[in-house]
This record gives sequence, C-alpha cells and structure tokens, in this order.
Amino acid sequence: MRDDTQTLPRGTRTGRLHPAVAGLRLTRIAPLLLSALLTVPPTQGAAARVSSVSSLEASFLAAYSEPGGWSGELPGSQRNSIGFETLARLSSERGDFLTLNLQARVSWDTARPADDALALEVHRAVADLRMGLGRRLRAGHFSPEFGLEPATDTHATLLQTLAGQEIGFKKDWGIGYGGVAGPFDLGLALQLGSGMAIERAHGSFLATARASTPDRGNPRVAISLLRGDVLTPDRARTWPAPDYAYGVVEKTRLGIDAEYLAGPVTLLGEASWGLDGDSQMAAALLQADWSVHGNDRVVLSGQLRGRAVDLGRDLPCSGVASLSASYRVSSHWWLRMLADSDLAPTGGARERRCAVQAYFVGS
Amino acid sequence: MKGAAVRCVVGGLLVAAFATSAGAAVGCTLNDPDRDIRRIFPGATNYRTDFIAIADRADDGLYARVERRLGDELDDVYEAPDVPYAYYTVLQDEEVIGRVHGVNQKGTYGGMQLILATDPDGVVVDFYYQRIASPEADEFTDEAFTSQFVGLTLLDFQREAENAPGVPRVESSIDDPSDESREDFEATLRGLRKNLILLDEFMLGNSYYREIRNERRDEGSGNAHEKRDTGRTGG
Repeated sequence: MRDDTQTLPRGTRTGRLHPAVAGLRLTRIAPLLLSALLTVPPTQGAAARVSSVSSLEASFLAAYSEPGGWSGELPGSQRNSIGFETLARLSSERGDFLTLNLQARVSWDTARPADDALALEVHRAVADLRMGLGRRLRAGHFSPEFGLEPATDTHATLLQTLAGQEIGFKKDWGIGYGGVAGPFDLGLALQLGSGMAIERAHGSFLATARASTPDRGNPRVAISLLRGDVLTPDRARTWPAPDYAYGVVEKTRLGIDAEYLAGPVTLLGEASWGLDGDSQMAAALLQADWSVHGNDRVVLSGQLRGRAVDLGRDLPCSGVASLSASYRVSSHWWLRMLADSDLAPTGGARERRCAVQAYFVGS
Repeated sequence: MKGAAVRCVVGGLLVAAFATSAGAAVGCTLNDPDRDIRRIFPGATNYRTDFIAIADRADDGLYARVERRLGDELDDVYEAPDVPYAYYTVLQDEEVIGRVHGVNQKGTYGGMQLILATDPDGVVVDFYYQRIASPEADEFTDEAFTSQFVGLTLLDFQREAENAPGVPRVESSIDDPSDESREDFEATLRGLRKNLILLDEFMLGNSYYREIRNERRDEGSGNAHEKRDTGRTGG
C-alpha cells in the first residue's frame, strides 16, 4: 500500500495527542445536525418552508498495487462505503435564508484490524446562512478556500485534486464567508486544521482565502492563500477519531487554479508553492477530461501531478501519471476505472496501481 | 461497547436517510445562482429554491404527458422520473418577478445544461448555456444566437409555423448558428421545449397545455377565433 507520509519538515511540532484532549465530539453534534435537517416539517404557506432532496450512495472498490497487493481502498481517494446526502433549503416569503447539506458515509477501512475497520466519515456538513444575494455565512465541515477543491466535486471520483496531498485533507471543520468582491467571487474560511475528525490540539488552525473569476467565465481562474498549523491524521475518518502521529505542521501556501472548457475537453490545473515549517514545497496538477464523441456516457481522463519537497535541499521531485475512465451505466450507476504509476519515486520501488469502482447514487 | 455505538450511529444515519424522500442527485442546478440571478433580474432581492421531480408528483400520467408534449421519449439516464429539477423563484421583496430553471440535455459531446429565465407568465427573458461541450460552443453561446429566444413562450415551440405546416414556429424562425453541429442545435431546441413544458407542469398550472389543447379543439370545431382564458396567474 502506498505510504503517504512525508519526511517531517523542519518546523513540525511533534507529539501525540492526549487521548483526553478537550473538544466537541461528533456524538454530540451529529444528532443536532440530523435534527436540524430532518425534523423541520415542510410548512407550505407558513413563515418557513423546506424544500429538500436526498439520495443514498454506495461505493464498491477493488484496487491492486505493486508492491502493495489487493485492497478495498484507493488511498487519498475512495474506499468501500455506503452513505447518503441530504440537501435542504429553508425559505420564507422573502426567499431562501438557510441551506443545510449533510453528506456522510460508513466505510470499511481495510488498513485497520477487522474489529476497528468500520468508520463513520462525515464528508460535508454545512449550514449556509444567506445574507441577501451574493453573501453567505457558513459553518460546519467544508472545503478550505484553497485550490481546485472548493470548485470541483471529487466526492465520488477516483481522480483527486492536490488538497489531500498539500493540506492533508479535503475538508475541515470551521466557519466561512462567501461573497462577491467586484468581478470576483470571494471565499474565506477559518477552520480547526484537523480534517474529517473534530479535533484541535497544539493550537491547530487553518485559515484560507480564495478569489475566483465567475463560474460562467471560460476560463475560470482563481488565486488562493493558506496559513495554518495543521494536524496530520493518519486516516480520513470522523469516528473513531484518527491518530495524529506528527503533531501539527506549520503550512503556508500560495495557490493558483484554473478550469477551461475546450469543446468536449475540460482542462483543470492547479499549482501551489509555500512552506511546511522551514521546507519549501511546490506542487502542480494538470488534468484533462474528454467526453467521447457519440457516447455521452463515457468520459476519459488523464492526470499528471508533481511535487517537490524541501526545495532548498535539492531533493528529487516525485510525480504520478494517471489514466481514468468513467462510464455511466444508468441513471443511478457509474463504473470507473483507474491506472496510475509513480513517475519519479523518491525512495523504494516504483508503485503502480489500478482500481475499479462501481458507484451508485439514488433511491 | 465501541461496536455497539458504531452500530447505533450507523442505524441512526440509515433511518434518517430513509426518513426523507430519497431520489437521485439533483439534475441541473445553477453553479452560481446569486450572481446569475442578479445579472438577469437587477431588481431581485432574493430567490426561493424548489426541488421538484416528476416521480414526486401525485400524477401517475405526468411522465407520459411530458413525453407526449415533448413529442419524444425521455432519456432513461438523464431524464429519469426521479431526477429532481431545481426551480429558482426570483423575488423582489415578496413579489415574484421571474423564475430561473435549467435542464440537462444530451448533446453530441456529452450533456448540455440549458438555463432559462422567464417572467411570471413563462415568457423567456434570458437563455444561456451553463455547459456545452461542442467544438462550436462559441457559436452556440454567442448572444446573437441565444438572444433570439427572448420573448418566446412554450407556444412558439408547439404551434406550427404559418409558412411551414407541421414545423414548430421556433424552428422556422431561428437559424442553426453552427456549421457542422446540427445535432446540438436540434438538441438545444428539444431541451428548451422540455424546460418550458416542465415549467408549465410544475409552476404554471398547465396553463399553456390548456391553451394549446383548447386551440386545437377550436380548430377542429371551427371556433379558432375565440380567445380563451389562459389561467396564468403570474405567481
């Protein structure tokens, strides 16, 4: 199995978390979130009404890697799971004022012993309070305002953005603000720096900001900033809580990302540069998605990603080349395949992987 | 103890999921509704979102009626009956000043997303592609093409052209902007017709359906000159 841990950068504050670290626990929050989502009755004609849509999902995955062997997980991407999503809009006579979105899974973590493999993953748990057109306050678990991740739906896909690699996770708990600043869309977020679990230790935090050209533009371009003292979870899960073996890493990043639609081809790209502690880091990703002519159910994708760690010490860069195919079998089922290979392994054997995913969403 | 707790949480989540009306993921939503609605309706103060699926309606004949009005079968992947459509009712304070609604439509190179803005009576005030993967996308998204649909209603997609019997009026009045993408042009017209049919079914109380039906009945009885109450209330 691929080893995603990195050499500890200079400036890492180490130390395992105390098991009794204070903080909110999901077991206290989840019932409140679910109550807010599900117990508000639709009240047509009353002061507040609810319009909602829900779906179930299931992801069945088989992956094989050299030298790791068979697995039910694609690290940093997908694992076998079932879940659901609920989206609700609360409105009054003057329009929408609150949006609630909950997206969660129960997964089987094949890297854990069987008695510890079942895990709860809260992927998205958001309450958006609207403040008129163009402005909203946000609270919950959502993508930091950095890079491609806030603008791209990678919840069920095999290919991922740089977020998991550069930040350590795709979503985090906290508060945020979204608005329009002249011709740009602006996003701000202040989060715990812990990822999928609700933890805070060693003063962890994550502050991000992103300014983007409007979504209708082609290309769409964005610039992002990141500063945080970020925990490094060993697994992406909410409960049981993951281990944080390396304490916090002081991260600073400047990022740029873009999306361009060229006929049947969608081009995605992002790059970031910054510091992990005192180590200079750089990373880049380029992806092309091609809708096959004459068959609207098939999308072929290719992705190149590269990373340079501790630039000042002239360490070799690493990279991964990936090919992926997605076939929409029906209105509810997708079949996806992936094959990738290390381009320049920094140590040990070159790793190659392939994976097949059957994904369901619907009733 | 941990295993029991996990089972309780898992069970609770599953119960919670089934307690709501489950369906497929939403079909076509606006990527940036605040900015788009403010651009199309400068006087708007907010909007109200409704998610509506054919399968959720207490009308067993709705799916078949939509197909009949469309003159085509609905695609079982992109147009399944449980796909929810998002309707944005645009408000100025508490007054309805329009609606914005989108549909997915199969194109030559994947799905297109066709967004219509209409006034309270269902008259088109704006049309744009939120996504089109055609090599001639520039021609389709050009305002010279999309602006031709402003002022049209569902009647223009269903009434015959006077100079071309059997051809919908819209096909005889709007030219294909592309050189080699006739399929995407025809798909656009189909998607817009579907969009307006669903608007009529979900939001306008079938007022256009009644008008067309009454006109055809009058044509058959020789009373085509009589003006009918459309029943469109505007809100």
